[in-house]
This record gives sequence, C-alpha cells and structure tokens, in this order.
Amino acid sequence: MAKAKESMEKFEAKDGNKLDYFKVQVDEKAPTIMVVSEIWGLTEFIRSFSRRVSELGYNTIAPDLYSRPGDKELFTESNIMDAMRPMWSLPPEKRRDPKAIEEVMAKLSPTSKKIFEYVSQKREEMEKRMIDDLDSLYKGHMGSSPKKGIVGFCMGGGLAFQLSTMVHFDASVIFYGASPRKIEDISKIKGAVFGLYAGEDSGINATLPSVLEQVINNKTNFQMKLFPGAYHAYFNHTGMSYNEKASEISWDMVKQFYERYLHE
Amino acid sequence: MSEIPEDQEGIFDGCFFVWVDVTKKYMSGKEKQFNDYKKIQEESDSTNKK
Repeated sequence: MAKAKESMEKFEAKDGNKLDYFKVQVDEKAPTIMVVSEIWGLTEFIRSFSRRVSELGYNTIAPDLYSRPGDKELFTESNIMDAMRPMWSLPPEKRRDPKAIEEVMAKLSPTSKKIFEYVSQKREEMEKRMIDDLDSLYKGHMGSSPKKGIVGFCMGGGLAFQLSTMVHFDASVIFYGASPRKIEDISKIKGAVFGLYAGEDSGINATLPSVLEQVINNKTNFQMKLFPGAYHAYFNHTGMSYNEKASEISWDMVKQFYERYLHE
Repeated sequence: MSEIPEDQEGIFDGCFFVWVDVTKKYMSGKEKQFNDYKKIQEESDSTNKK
C-alpha cells in the first residue's frame, strides 16, 4: 500500500467561510470516510483515529467545525470544559429552566458565557450550521469517492446519524451519538448503519427503543452493540472514561463493518 | 431542519450536558485541566489496585 499523506486542507462552507479539515490520503480510488469529532473539536484523538482508519486503506477527512474566525479561540478544549464546570450544580431537570439557567449564567466568566449562549439560546443555529458544514464537505470532497463512509463520536455521532438521513453513505458508524432529531427520518437511510453504545449512558440510550422500532418498521440495515459497564466516550483513549476492552472489541467490529460495506 | 422543541435536547446541547455529567463524575473535587484525564484515570486505577 502507498504511504499515506497527511495535510490540513480547506473547504468552503455554505456561508462562504473557508473551514479546515484534516486529510489523510492513501489512494484517490480508495473509499473515503468522514470522521466527525466529539464536542472537543479536531483533537489529537480524532487525528490519531483518522490515521488508524487510513492504515486500513481508506482516505479520511476530519473537519474542524470550530475553524471559523473567532471560533478557534473560543471553542478550545479548556474553554468548553470551563463552561461545563458551573453546570455541575445544575440538576438535569433544571437544564431547561430559564430561572435556573439565568442564575448559573450570572456566575460564568465572559468566555464560558459565550460558549453557554451557543449551548442554550443558539443551540439550533449551532446544530444547523454543523450539519450544513458536513454537507458542504461531503458534496465538495467526497463526491468522486467510489464508496463513502462516516464515523462520529458523541456529538459527531449524532451529527453523523443525522447526516446519514440526508445524504448517502454506504457505511455509517455511530459511537454513542444522539439519534436523528426526527426519528422517522431513519426511513431515509439507504446504507448500512452500525451503532455502538455504552451501557452506562442513559441520556444517549434513551431514544434507542424508538430507533429500533424504526429500524424494524423500515427494514433498515442496522446493527448495534452495547457494552455493559462502559461509560460515555469509552472509545477515547485520551479521555476520562476510556474502557480498553470495549474499545478493542469496537475497533475489531468497526473494521469488519467497513470491510463488508465499503468493499462490496 | 425543523425547530428543536423547547423541552428536548438537540445534538449540540445534548452532547454538552452528557459531558457535564461525565466531567462531574471524573473531575469533581479535582483542580485539574482538560488533558489531565488520563493521569487521573491512572491514579485512580493505581489506588484501586492497592
């Protein structure tokens, strides 16, 4: 196999901004897989995962969804985490309570406040923008690929699942991501989907019964693996809840999944 | 896409709050930075083995 070539490239978003993406090219005729990050952005974990996938013979493209002017400095790992800390005191049932939110907001630093504005008031704008950005990357840089795959983690898993209802992927891998907003959109998926979930991840797993109902009704090509005892983000080896055993099994299953659906 | 209903989580905010719970579980009471996760996990594993 030819040596993989790494580079940072640009793609044009719908709003005209030029965004960054990390590209690992092995062979222009090889299938291409889009790698979509966790909320933490284009981290070393995403880059190392992209390299690992490319070693299997696939081209990978991983967008930096925070590469607009101003976003790069705002949405850093440290800033996002600093915005999370004050939320620890907010019970889940109060997360939609305007009064409770207002009280927490008053204690935030200006940077954390900006991030939290996107999480609360601008959540719809942010989600739409990210989906649009992935769609632009897909249309601009995956069109000529013979087979197309996608993989996403947490937020990226939710975005990958959503995007798979909108454009065609031969193989979509969802690591503990949210289900499509309109669950009946699962009927629009024509490719194969593989969902991997942590047993101890009640927020993400809450919609799985509805997903399975749609899968059965629409005869979607869907396979699922749930790891009892694993926590959210168990696959991220740089993260807090890394689970080595679950991660190894997942990697083997993902390799087989792509082998089957990106080479048929 | 249609509007996110007020009482539901979207992808971005939903993910943020999932991570709020994860960071609370692992980072609570620790004055650590983001990339200290692995170190904390190793310390925790080491303590559990003793």
